[in-house]
Amino acid sequence: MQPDSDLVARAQGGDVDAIGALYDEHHVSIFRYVWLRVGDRHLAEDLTGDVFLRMLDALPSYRSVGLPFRAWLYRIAHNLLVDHFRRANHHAPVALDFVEDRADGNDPSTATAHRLLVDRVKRALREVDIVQREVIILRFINGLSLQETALAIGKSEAAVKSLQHRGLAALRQTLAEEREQVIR
Amino acid sequence: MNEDRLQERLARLEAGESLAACAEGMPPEETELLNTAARMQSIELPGRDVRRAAEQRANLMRAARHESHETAAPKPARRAALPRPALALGALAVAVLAVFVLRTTSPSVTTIADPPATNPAGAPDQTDQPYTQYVPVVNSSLSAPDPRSAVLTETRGVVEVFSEGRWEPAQVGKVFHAGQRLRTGQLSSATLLFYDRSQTRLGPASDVTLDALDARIDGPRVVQITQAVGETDHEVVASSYRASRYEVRTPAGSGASKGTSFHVSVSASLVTRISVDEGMVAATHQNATVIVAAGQETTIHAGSAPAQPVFRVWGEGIVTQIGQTWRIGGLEFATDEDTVVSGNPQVGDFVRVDGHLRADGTRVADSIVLLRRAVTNRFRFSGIVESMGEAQWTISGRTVVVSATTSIDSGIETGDLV
Repeated sequence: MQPDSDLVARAQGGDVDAIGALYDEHHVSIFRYVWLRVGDRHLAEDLTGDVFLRMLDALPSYRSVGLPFRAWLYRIAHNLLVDHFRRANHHAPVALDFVEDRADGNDPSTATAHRLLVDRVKRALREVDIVQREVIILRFINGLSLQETALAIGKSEAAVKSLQHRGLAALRQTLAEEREQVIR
Repeated sequence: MNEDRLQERLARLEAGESLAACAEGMPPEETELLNTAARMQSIELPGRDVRRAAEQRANLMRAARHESHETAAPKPARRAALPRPALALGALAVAVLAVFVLRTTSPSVTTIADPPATNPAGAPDQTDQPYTQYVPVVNSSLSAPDPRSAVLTETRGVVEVFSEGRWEPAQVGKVFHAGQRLRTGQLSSATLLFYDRSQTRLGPASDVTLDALDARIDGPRVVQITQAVGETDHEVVASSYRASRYEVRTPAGSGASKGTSFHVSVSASLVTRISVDEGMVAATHQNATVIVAAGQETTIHAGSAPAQPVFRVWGEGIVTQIGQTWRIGGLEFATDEDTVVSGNPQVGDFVRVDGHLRADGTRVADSIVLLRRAVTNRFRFSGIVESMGEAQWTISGRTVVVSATTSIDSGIETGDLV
């Protein structure tokens, strides 16, 4: 697998295969980020496609100095979601309907347990402040570094550090409360 | 500092150290946070719809091939070809990267602006600059010709400019200057793009005046807008000049705000509502200030202090109960005299609900908008179009109400069979 920097340079030079490779490299993680933000699988699928079309538009202006490609791509996704939420009546919704079809062909009991876990985490994330939620998703589910997360959402590393601390605390609290309710 | 220690342990965890090793010596409550992070990292989320991913890849490759054959001529608006109208509008997605503060002096102004200068006026503030790198994703090939102008990049429906004592249609590409006034009709919208790529989007039935305009990027930016009525969205590009200002004035209320991604609405009864998508807004009136954070909103009634911000709740779901209390997507929403219900949704319909949380945790719906009729609530008939109004059509003698959510094919004219 080629490093992003090589692919990006080729993509900026008009190499269509490099653009395809960038898509292959990042589309699943971008989808998961978008999915957790919008809470709707089908919408997330559509928006993921839009992220890469925007990437194509913006590629000529990308400069690697100070902004790693992955963070830049997440910035595009972040911007697109801001735009999307604004158009959807100015709000960043969390879908109330969490019943979604999931693509998995695993053992039924394992799949069920996994669904429950994902649902639980999604419910807990819903209770977390919007910005903290985004930081949690980017840092711990999408695996971005502190610096990449900061660049992706346009905040300082210090701010992200604080947000992740408060976000984890809120998430832990919510998960603990939910567990207590289940035990009762 | 706890945050630094947590980050240091998280970095070790990400580098492959065991959870136990990373947690060594940490207070129990911080160990819990580390555990939570590790738990999040272990979650396997579902993959993509393989067919959709392949389709998108093919589309991307097609677009890339097309692009590589294009000449240096201005790009067509690709968004217009996208299937979802939301993107066809072609506005910007703007990352908001700086915090803005302004203290207003007028008691009758809602203001959103940059902070007062704490360094020599006009001097760029280079602190934290790595994070003020802004990646504009602009879908319009238009741009304001100079800092003292703005360009209309998107119009829908009736959009007019007040010129020489009368209202005239305003077309995409029209350049505006300070002192000019712009308004939209029902079911209409317009987007103004400033020189620094900040933008203001007017919703339906909105009226704004550009009071002052100097959106330069090589010095303090000045944008002052008076919003008489309607709804506007504002996306303000970060400025490295602390003396920069971006103000939105409304006839009711005054404000000093932080934040660069926000929505301002002014109702016919001159009630101002400010909601924040990113950053923070400090709304001031009657010598009282409230801080509105992302996800919150405040309301300012003429002559009253801004209401305490409330957290917004919103979402989409199926209606299973209507009345004083609605049940939407399994959650209960109280309604009151301020709740606006659009589209006459019924049980079984799919709606969007926007509301806020009361202090006691109960949800109150501010608006409930029909998005999709349940199959059982739908009807169908054919007829000849006899009249086509903005709010209602007559089809073979029957009155059909239309709204912003009505999907209408293009090209339909009076006399057509629909």
